[in-house]
Amino acid sequence: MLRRVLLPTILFSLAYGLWLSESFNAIAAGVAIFLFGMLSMEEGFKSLTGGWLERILARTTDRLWKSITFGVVSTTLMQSSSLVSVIAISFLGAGMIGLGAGIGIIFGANLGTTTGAWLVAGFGLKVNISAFAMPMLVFGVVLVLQQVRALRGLGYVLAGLGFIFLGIYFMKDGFDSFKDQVDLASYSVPGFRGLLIYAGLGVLATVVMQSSHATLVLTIAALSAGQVSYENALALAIGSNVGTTITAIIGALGANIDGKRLAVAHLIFNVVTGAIAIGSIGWLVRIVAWLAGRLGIAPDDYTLQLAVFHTLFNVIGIAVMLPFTAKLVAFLIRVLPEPASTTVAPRFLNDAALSLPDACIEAVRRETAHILDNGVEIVAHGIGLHRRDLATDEWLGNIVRRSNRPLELDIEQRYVRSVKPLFSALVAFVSRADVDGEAADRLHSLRAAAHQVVEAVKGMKHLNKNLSRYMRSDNQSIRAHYDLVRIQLAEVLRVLVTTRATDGDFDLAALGFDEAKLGLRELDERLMHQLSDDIRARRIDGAVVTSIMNDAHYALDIGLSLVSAAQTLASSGSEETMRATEDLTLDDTEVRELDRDS
Amino acid sequence: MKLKRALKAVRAFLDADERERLRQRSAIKKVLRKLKGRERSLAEEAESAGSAGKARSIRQKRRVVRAQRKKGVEALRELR
Repeated sequence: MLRRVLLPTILFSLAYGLWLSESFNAIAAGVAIFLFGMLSMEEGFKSLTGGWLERILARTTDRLWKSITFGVVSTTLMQSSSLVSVIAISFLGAGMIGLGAGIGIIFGANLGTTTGAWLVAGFGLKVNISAFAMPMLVFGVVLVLQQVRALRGLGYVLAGLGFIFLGIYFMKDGFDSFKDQVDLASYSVPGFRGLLIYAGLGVLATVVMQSSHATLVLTIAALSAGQVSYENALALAIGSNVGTTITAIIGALGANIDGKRLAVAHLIFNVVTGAIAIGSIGWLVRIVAWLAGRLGIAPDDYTLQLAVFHTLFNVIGIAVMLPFTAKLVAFLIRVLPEPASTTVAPRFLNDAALSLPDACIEAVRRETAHILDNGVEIVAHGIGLHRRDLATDEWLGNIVRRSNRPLELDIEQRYVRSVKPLFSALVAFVSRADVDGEAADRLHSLRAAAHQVVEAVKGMKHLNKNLSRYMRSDNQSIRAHYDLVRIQLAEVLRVLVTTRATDGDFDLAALGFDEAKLGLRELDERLMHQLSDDIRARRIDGAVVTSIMNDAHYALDIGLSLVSAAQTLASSGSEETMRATEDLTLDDTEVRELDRDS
Repeated sequence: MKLKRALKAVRAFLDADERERLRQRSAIKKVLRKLKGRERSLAEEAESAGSAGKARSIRQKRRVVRAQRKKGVEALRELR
């Protein structure tokens, strides 16, 4: 309802303003070009990140001060706190960073965003910025047309920067000529009332434009043209800081509970910082004047003083909130608890993860691992074992012989409750992912891995029927065969449960699963030899022989499916490393040949 | 000679396929080095294997690693 009223109102107001005033044209066009430049830069950084962002994220966010530094540096480079907030929310939703690290990134992003004011006030307004913009646009567009993704990304960034500079130029020009028609400064409201009104205007402008950067640049341009008083400009800057949290809230609507918690943390931080700034504005203005003097800023250079103010109140906000980070995390977890659920729901597939290819792939990878975990548990229970039996070093022959009673188990029900809904959600999620090229291939291979787990569980359903019956058989030979089937699967499950790829050894872990495949085939052959001996010695009758042969085949398929799924999951790292691992992985024919040669 | 090398480097920089080929070769070599290390450590394990079952298991793993290394070398040859 609000959107239906708000958008036409904005469009109508803009149209009226554009018709009314030439200068307003220039200002509005400047804002539009500036915002387009920011979108272009965001697009460029998304293309440029590839897999390295994920790799550096783990190393740079394991401590709070590192998270804050990451937030400052990334926002300074990308000139967009909204993008960094969205990245933090996506990665948090995909389970790649913790809530504490996410909060640190948000703190850092708020500080990093102040560099934009320095850039505009210190450089943008003092030089002929359009002269820099033109070559950037030219080279940027040339690079955008290239096939190589990195060059295209660089092109978007360069062109984006060019548009940003051009937008600043038009805004400045627009305000300079607007001064001749309307003196907005005559409408300034002094005192505390003015502070609140203009802070509110700052919030409104940021919500409408979805960019605190744009509000700040507009404010600086207006201030340099004398269209807004220094005190009112400070209030606009405070308002823009609070208004930027709306973007984070919108971005978190499709996120899981952690993403929502981070958005609320962002809101709390910015509101607290804004309240501190408003409450101590007098002191802050005096401190800014003193700092400006020390930095050699002229007393009448209000634009640079605004930049100092913007940085100062964000630094104060971080200093105030930092000691309470752990308490804030605890508070958020208490106030926004994990929703209770009686059915197994996806843990990592949330809309926020769809916004970035890296986060999307990681969310699907983790959810596939979740499906594999559930599948492994069902298969373990299907052969009468528990997960704890697989996590020990004890010889599996002993464990299998000791656990000779089938567990109470309805595999169909377990599949419907803990595998099927996850797989359905994963398929739907992958189909909604807006990725192409190698990222799309990776998603499809992970989906195929999840499907292999589903096939394994379905195979277990068939195997379990005879297994439950014959594992307690009075015929020792029949029992021995089914024990061998159980050992065959238990060997594979033990490898899956105990293999954890350590940093940098994802490729070795993935290749290590070829050993499990060979082990499966060798056990299968041994089973067939033993069966032939038992048939010759008439220890087992014909009907049971057929069952054993079918069930051995099911077990082999189940084992190979699970290993193959685990192998896909273990493949990680750079695209080249993943492809190299795939090239060296033995296919089925090669494993069979090895088995024949043994 | 220096000019030829410089031209080759510029060609590699501008030619996306050439860069891709070199990156792929480098990635395969990296994995092959790790596999060599793994084979060496399995050989050491085999010397101190306590039981026949464990020795058989280690032999099996070594066969797999050797097959993977052979496959890697062939892949490198194709990428030359």
